Amino acid sequence: MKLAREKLMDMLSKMYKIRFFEEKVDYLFSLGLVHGTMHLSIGQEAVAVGAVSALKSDDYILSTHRGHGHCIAKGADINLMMAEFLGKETGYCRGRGGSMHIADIESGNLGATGVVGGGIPISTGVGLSIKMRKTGQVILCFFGDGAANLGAFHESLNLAAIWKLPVIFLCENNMYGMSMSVKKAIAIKDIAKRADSYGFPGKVVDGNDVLAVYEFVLKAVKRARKGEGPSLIECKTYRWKGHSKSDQNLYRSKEEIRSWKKKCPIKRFKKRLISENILKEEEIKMIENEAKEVIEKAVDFANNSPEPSVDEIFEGVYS
Amino acid sequence: MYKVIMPKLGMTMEKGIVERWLKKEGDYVRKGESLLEIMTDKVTIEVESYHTGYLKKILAEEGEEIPVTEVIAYIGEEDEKIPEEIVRKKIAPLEVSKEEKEKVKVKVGEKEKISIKKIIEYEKEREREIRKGKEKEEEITKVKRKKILASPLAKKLAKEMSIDLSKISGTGPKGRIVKADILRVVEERKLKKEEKMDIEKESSKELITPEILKTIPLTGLRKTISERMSKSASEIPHITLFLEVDISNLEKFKNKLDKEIGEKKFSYTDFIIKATALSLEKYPILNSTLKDEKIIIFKDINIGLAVSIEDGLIVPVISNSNRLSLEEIADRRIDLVNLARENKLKLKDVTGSTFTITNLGMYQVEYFSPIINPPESGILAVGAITKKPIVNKDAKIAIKPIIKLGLALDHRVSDGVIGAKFLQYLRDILQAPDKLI
Amino acid sequence: MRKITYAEAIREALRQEMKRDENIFLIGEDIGIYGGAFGVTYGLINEFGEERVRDTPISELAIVGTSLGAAITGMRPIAEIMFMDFTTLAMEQIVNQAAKMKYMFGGKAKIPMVIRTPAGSGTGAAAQHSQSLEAWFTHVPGLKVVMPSTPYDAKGLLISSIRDDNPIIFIEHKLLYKISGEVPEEEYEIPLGVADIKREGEDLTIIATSIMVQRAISASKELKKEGISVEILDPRTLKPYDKKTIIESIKKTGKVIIVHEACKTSGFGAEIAAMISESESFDYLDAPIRRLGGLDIPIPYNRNLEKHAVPQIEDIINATKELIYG
Repeated sequence: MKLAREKLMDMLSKMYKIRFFEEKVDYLFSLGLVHGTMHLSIGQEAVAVGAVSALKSDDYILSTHRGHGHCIAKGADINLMMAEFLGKETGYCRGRGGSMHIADIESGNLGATGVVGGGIPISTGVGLSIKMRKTGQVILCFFGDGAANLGAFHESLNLAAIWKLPVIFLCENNMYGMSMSVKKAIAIKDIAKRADSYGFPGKVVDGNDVLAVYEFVLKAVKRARKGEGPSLIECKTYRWKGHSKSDQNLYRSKEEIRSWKKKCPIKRFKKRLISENILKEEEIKMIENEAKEVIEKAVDFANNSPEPSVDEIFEGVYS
Repeated sequence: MYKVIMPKLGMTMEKGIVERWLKKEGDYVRKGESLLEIMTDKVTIEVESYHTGYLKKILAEEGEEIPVTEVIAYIGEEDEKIPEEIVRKKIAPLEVSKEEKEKVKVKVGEKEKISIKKIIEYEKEREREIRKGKEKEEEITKVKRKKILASPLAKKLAKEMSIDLSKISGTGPKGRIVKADILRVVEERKLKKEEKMDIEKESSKELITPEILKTIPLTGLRKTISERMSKSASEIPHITLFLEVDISNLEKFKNKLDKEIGEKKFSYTDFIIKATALSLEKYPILNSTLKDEKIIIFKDINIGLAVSIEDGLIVPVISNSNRLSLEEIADRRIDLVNLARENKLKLKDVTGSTFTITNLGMYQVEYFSPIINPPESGILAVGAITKKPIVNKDAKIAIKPIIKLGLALDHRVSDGVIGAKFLQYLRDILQAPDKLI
Repeated sequence: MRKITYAEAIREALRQEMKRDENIFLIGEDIGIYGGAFGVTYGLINEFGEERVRDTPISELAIVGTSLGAAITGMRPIAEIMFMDFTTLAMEQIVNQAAKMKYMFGGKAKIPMVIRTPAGSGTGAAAQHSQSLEAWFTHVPGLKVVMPSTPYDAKGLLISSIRDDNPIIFIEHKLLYKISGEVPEEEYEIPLGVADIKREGEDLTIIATSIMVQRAISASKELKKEGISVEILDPRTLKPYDKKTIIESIKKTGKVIIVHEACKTSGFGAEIAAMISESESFDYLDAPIRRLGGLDIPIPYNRNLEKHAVPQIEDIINATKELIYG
């Protein structure tokens, strides 16, 4: 493994934070403390962390409705995320966005959109902006297998291709678009193959292998920075939880869910770190505990934060 | 000790049924392991444990329906004791606010017990009351709301200038009162005011304000008389004709009748009523009303008789006077006058007159010009009977009892000549009273 | 003063602004060599190059999405959607993304983008190339909607729109492109949300938008011969719109006609009418509020039918007389 130990520790820590963050918000929801729904990415942590780890800090990401992981991977402040989650004034979006719209534009997190595929055309624009401003940045655009069937996907990938924009289209294929199995939704085996028709590379990656994701995305990033244009990377993964809080999991079997839980990306990464003598069990335990603590503190922070004022309800509609 | 709660699993989930516990009390449970099955919205969902430990106590039995976030079990360490106070709170069967409870208590008169049935009854009754109140209100507003078509600007201006919109006719589309109409009224008012001011200016040099004894508000009968008379005086162009009638024959006739009955039952008024009714038969144009540019002549001849009462004047009616005998007229007249003085007249006694007779003879008034009682078009004033020297056919002076009659008529409906002919005819009857029988 | 056309005024605003700020670029279908379907951007590609006058494939959704992505990362895009009818293809990006982004991100995004698009009938292009859909966009918080009626306003309002940090729907009118008017050569801004009294009058207020302002002016000349003095008020911006000027005008005249080309049902006139009756100007109304709008039909092809589908000068004259004479 070529990556520095610190980098690997950071990646593991982020994966834990994602897992614990989502377990915690799931629990808060069950207590009736969360207003609205949420889309959990438990089981998909390797995609978010692997992909974003291949970026520089001033690169951009665009996220989706299932975006907590992307946010944390991009280095978001968990306190501000949790506060947003609970609709507090101190949250990233002053309680106006919630789970589905966490953004931190200054840090390059251009936000999550609740409309499937809504971010794809925007990413093309970000790519164009980067190219016109000649900053050498890239934009990593997350979307799911469901979004790959939208017109927006086609229009945007084509534009990015003809203008050779520095965009990495990252398809998180978690096998279901809500309840629609990707096998029923798409007639070809790999979404990545669609890149061929736009004239840029498309690759399939094991989305539960954080290092594999990292490697593939890094290649795409390099290509983008050189001005060679966009790439499409399809990460095959699986969400353990339902689509959202209204999901009763009627469309997939317990066996299927169980089999994917055995492929836990965190356990897999942990095993590898130990087997390659990069980290010791105790060190990993420390990382894990530290991640848990961060989440607990975030809950305290959020709970102690003020509600947004109704007097300021109009703030933010216009500049 | 961790609480296991009925989890909220969907945005709209409020309750869930514990379908099956997948672990029993005493079992070890790992975080993420399936703990129980919950049925919500007819779908069974497996619930994973959020905690690791031993399932110490199950509070919700299988089949029970539990609101979300209610504690359904406890998970703890193997040797941890379950606190005694762990008893699931009973869920109130119906949520009733404190104030409502108080009300019910008062209403029902029971000490602390609140029966759901009574609450429901009380609620229903309250609803009925509210509905009744609403209906009443609606009725009131229906009555109140007379539609006046006016533009918002006209309404605003009218309010500012204290103009009563119901007294203005609009010239806008559909008769809507518009700004121009209000301005017209304002202009008219200004003119009137200027006139008034001119008069005031002239007299203001030696202006004397009389001392007020008493102010009587114009109300009730007085107000009605005031309105009706000013309407009549301002709207109806009156002609008034006077005629003197020698009633020596009538005097004899009356005496004869009195003798026949053996009491002084008849008044001259009775003869005049009958004679007037017969005259109206001859000149029906005076037994009429003017309405919407049409003269409506009545078949019925209903003579109204002005009677003075304590606070004004009232006009009871002798219907079909032309067809009644003198005796019947007298009976009716006596009846009505008594009822009027006793304030016992009914609506039917005072409505439907087509012509009015007013008599001030008993006060020795000889002549006066009466004001028509609208919507009629004629009125007969009867003055005092006085002995007067007259020049008879033989050019000799004779002393005769004379009655003075004054007839006012609506000049829009008829002319002086008709009035004169009517009076002549009336005189002829009174001078040959046999005709009255 | 120098007279130029509405299309030239828009082009001049684009040129001057692009010279002033290199972050401004144009994006749209056939806006380069072709000069746009109505020639508005003609020649700009020679001056600014393909990078800044960027032809796109036929991808309306991506045009708007690309503009949005560029806007939030420091550029100031001006997109052209060839016909207003085609904004339907980009609705997701306009309504769900561009309009909402700032608010749902807690006010922390800056979205300096303009979508220019021509609306209106009168060209015989029938139902799918003639719509006036401005009311749709006024219904979406986060968007601003601008609708100039003269060359002077077109230039000043476009410059203000380009310099504004919000997503703006800038609605041009195909029949206005060729009308001329006095336009200063230098750059100037007309603040968004400020109405303009195009003609002062005493007897009645006509609130008109876009092409209808021109028709109202023609109607007012006829009406003047009969001694009727109408005030013509152009809101110029529909969102935000200038309620104060409308209220003041009605307080003066007491009568109002609202004219727009868009279908009358749920048209912007309904908003203005409702606002009037909710405002203090209600008490100054001396006649019912009158609306003139397009018929509730798709724009027909036949010349005569097309003319009948939307208000014409005679309609404005007749409606005015009805209100004046009762």
